[in-house]
Amino acid sequence: MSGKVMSMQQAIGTFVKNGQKVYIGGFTHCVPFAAVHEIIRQDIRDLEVCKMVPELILDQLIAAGVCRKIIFGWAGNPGLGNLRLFRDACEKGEPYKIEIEEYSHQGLISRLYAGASGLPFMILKSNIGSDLPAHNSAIKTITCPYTGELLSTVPAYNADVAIFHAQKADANGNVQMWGVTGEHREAAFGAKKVIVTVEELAREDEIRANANLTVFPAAIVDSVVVEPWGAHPAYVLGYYDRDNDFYINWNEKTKDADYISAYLKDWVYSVHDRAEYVKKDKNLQRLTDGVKHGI
Amino acid sequence: MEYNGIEMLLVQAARQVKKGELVFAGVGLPIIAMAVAKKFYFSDITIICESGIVDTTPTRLAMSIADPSLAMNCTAIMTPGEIFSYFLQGGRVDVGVLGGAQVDRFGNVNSTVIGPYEKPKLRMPGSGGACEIASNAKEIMLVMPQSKRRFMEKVDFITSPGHMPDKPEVKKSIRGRGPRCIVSDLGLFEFEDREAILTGIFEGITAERVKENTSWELRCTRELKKLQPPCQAELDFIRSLDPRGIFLGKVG
Repeated sequence: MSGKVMSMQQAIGTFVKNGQKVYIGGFTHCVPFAAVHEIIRQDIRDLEVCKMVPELILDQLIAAGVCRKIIFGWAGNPGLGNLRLFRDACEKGEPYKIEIEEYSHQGLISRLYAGASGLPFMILKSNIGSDLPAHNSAIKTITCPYTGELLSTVPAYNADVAIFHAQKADANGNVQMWGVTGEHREAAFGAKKVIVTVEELAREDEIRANANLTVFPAAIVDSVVVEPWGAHPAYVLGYYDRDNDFYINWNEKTKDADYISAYLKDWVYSVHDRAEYVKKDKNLQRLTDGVKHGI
Repeated sequence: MEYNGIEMLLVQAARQVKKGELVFAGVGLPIIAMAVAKKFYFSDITIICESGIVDTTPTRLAMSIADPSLAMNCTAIMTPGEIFSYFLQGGRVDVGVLGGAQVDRFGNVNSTVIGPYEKPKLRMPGSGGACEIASNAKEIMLVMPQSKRRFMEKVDFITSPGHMPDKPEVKKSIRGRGPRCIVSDLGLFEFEDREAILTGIFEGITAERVKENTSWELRCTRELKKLQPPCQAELDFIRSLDPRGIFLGKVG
């Protein structure tokens, strides 16, 4: 181990603290589930989490009592519908009332872009005519000084720490990602600290040979965690397929809200790390069938 | 030949696309409908998704908008920020295809909450990219199963703006022209003077039944189009994309 390479325990323990603003990457591709599970295991509390598509992570964070506030764009189980505990928290204040701050996707990406660019706010052509600005006072309207038209504005967002998953990184922290790279670059450049978990460690010369694939240059990365299967049940292009059965089962089984706590007990609290999780799930290898490695 | 209303919806939505259009499709029914459009009606359309995927044709069911089946079969992957800025705000998208939980006669869509926002009866996922798609695509097409609770006089929350005839100042600041049509599992609605009018019905459906499943006082065209049922090849294709019936539900 050299450079910025750390264990998951060390990376989360070093950089993620109670009460922080935490950005979590993964636009349904390369979702850093393993890192989130480590946050839960370390019992970090009172987080203000920001995530474009928080998907199942949100149910897990609520069940674990980690998340005080969620800033989001689309909070559902992709393709399948609503999230059980997010619903309960909003509708009934159970297991506890969660603070929400909601944007459209472009609204949230615009916040990240402003945060990364050192701008106080960003303009966009959306939100006008929607009811969202009436329920989120951070979304405002300005008159364009050039054309006179109405434009929507959103304030800059900067995380204390941002966490991502990607295919590869070198020990210096140059991170390469391909396929859907989502909002990763905007979110990382706006964050004070950046943790990246990757499927495999690369040599620096591999990075240099394909520099267009570098999503984060080493200068903005604080920690690299080599964590194979770190995005399961989401997918990593070239490594493993999306575990759609997992998402479909989640939708069915979380009709019983207690299922989520039981899941955390079995798959988060009673495993030491992702390596143990991978060993425990005898069914993972099917997700590598027919997956073309690399690019 | 047996088919259900959702299958009919998908095929009819595919027919509402126009030759050569650049289509922005959401996950679920929209992307399946556009796959049908590309395969059976307009092979020259370009399908893009908000995850950044450009010119895709799903070959298996896309469960998420960044699904590997889309990412592995496309000509470009941009970032969502680039898609919103350059394709949508840049004015390059001809038609956005959206679902939702509720729609009103002006094409305002709700996919956020049922009941009041601060204490909802049902909290749904929210906008995602829907608001910017509805705001910036030249036109939008809405696809959703129909019932009285979905086709509302007034939606509980406007997630994505429609024609907004009562708010001309707001509408002036929205680039897109608004909804082109609504396709439900009963029929086709097109917009006349910014209001959704029933213009076509599926085989075996009466105008009466559509009215019973609409909360506003629905107007119909004098001559309702009898919309052609799907052909066997279309049904085979749709079912091959969703063999478990996740989006199609029970057939027959």
